[in-house]
Amino acid sequence: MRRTQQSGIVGAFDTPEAIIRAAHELRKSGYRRLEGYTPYPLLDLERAIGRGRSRIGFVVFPFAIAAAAGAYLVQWWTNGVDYPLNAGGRPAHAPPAFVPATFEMAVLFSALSACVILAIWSGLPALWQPIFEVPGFEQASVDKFFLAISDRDPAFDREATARKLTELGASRVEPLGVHPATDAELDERLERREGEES
Amino acid sequence: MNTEPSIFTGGGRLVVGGFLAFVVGAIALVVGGVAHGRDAFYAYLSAYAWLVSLLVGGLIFLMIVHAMDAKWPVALRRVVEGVTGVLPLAVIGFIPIAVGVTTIYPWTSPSAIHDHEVQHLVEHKLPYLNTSSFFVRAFLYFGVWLGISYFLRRWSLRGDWAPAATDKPRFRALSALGLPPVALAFTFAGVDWLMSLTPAWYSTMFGVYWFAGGFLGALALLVLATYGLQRAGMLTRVGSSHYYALGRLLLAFTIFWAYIAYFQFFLIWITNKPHEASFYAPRMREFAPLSILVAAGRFVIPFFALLPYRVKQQPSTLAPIALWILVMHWVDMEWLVMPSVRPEGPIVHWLDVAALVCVGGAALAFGTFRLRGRPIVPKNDPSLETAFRYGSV
Repeated sequence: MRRTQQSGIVGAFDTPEAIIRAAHELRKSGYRRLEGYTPYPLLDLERAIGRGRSRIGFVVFPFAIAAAAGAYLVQWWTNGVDYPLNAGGRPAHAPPAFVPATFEMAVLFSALSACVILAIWSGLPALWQPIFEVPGFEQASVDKFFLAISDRDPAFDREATARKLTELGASRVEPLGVHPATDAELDERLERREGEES
Repeated sequence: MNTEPSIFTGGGRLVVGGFLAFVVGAIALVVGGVAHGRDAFYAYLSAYAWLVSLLVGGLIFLMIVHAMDAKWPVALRRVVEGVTGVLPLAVIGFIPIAVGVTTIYPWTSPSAIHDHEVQHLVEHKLPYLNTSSFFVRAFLYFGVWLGISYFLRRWSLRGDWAPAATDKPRFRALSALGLPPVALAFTFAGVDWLMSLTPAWYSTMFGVYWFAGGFLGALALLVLATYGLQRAGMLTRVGSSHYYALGRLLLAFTIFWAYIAYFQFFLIWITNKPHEASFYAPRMREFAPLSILVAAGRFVIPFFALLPYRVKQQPSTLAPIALWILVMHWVDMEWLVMPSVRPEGPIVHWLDVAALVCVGGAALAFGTFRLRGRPIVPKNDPSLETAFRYGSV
C-alpha cells in the first residue's frame, strides 16, 4: 500500500521527458520513496519510480470466491434443505439453476470490494494532503510535472537532494510538509485565501 | 533498426515432421477404416472440424485486426496469415467428408431412422438438409473464406516488395465488408457439419458455440506459433506486452466460450423438452466423463490459470496454457461429434487420435511450407515500428 508523501522535497518539471529522466537518475542513485504528480498518466514514469502493478486483484479475488461460495450456499440451503419445492420434477438441489446467481454475486462483490479497497489505499476520504501546500501545485493538473521525494527515503538529504533535483532539470524545488499544518493554521490560511479572493 | 533475420527460412523439420505425421495418421485411418469404417469417418470429422474452426477463427482475427486498423497485431500479422494460408488444404480435406456423407449424416437416408417422430421431423427438414444443397453450401463457405483470405494474403505479401499507400483502405474495406459473410459461413458450416449429426435437434446457440471455441483455439495457436518463432530466433522484438495482449484475449474468450456453453446447456436443461434434451442425454450418461473434461479443461483450468498477470505476460507460462487450450478444443470437437454418432461409446477411439495426427500434421507441414521464403513480418507496413514498440502496463 502506498500513501501520499507527508514530508520531504518536491521538484517541478516542465516536460514529461525531464521528469522521467530525473526519476530514472534518482532511482539509480539509490532513492526509493518517489512519487509523481502529472496532468496525465505517464507509463514510463510509473516504471521509473519503481511502481509495479497494483495488487488489488489479489485482494479482490478472495472476496469473489467468498461471495460465490456464500451465494451458492444460500441457494443450496433455502432450495435444497430448508424449503424444497418440486419444480417440474427437477431436483431440489439443482446446480445448473444456481450458477447465474452465484456468478452474479461473485461479480458484484469483486466490484464492490475493488471500489472500497481502492478508496482506502488511495487515502480517501482525506480532503487535504501536505502536497497541496506546495506553491503552484494546482499546475500538476495543467502542464507541470511534480516529483516528490520523501524524507524517509534512505538516500534523502535535504540539501543534496534539492541540488540534485535542480541538476536534473527541475525548474523549481520546494520543501514539502515542513510545517505540519494544525487546524488553527489551516483556518488562518483559509481566511487569508478568502481575503485574497474577495 | 531491425537486425533480426526477417525472412522465414527454417521450418524444414516442421514440414518433414508434419508430413510424416500426416502419412502415419492417414495410413492408420485407412487401415482402421477397413475394420471400423464408420469410426474412421467420425474421427476424421472431429479432427477436420477442429482444423477448420482454427483456420476460420484465425481469418476472423485477421479481419478484425484489419477492420480496426489495430497496431500491435501488425507485428504478428504474418503469423496469422500463415494460419489462414492453410485454408486451401481445408478444401482438399473436405473430400473424405464428401465421400462419407451418407455414412456420417443420418439425414441422408431418413427412411433408415427408426423413431417415426424423428423421421417425420427430418423429412420436414429435407429442403435444407439434402446432400446436393449440403455440397452447394460447403462450396459457398469455402468460396467466401478462400476468396477473402487469398486477397488479404496477396496484398500483404505484395506490400513486401512494392509498398503502396493505397493498401490500407483496401484491407479495411474488404475486412469490414467481409466479416459478416465469413462469420455467417462459419456459423452455417457449424450447423451443417456438426449440428446436423442429430438432425431432429437444434440450438440457436450452436453456431456461436463452435465459433467461440474456434476463435479461442486460433488465439492459442497464434501464441504457440509466435513462441515457436521466437524460440527459433525470429520476431525478437515481440515482447511481453504482445503476449499480455494475446493472453487477455485468451482469458476473455475462455469466459465467452463458457458463457455460450453454459447457457446453451442451461436453457435446454431448464426447459427440459424431449427433443432439445436429446442432445445432452448421451453427454450426461455414457459421455459424462468427457463432458466434465470439457467443462474443466476448457473453462475451469484455463480460467484460473490465466488470471494472474505474470502468467499472461511471460511466453514460457502462456505457451503451455495455449497448447492446453488447443488440445481441449479438439476434445470439445470430440464432445460435439462422438456422443451424437455413437451414443453407446466408446468415448475415445484410437482412430480419433490418428485422425488428429493426420489432419494436424498435414496442416502444420502445409502452413510452414507456405511461410517459407517470405518475410516473417509485413516489413513495409507503416505501423510495424509502432507495433513493435507496443507497451502496456
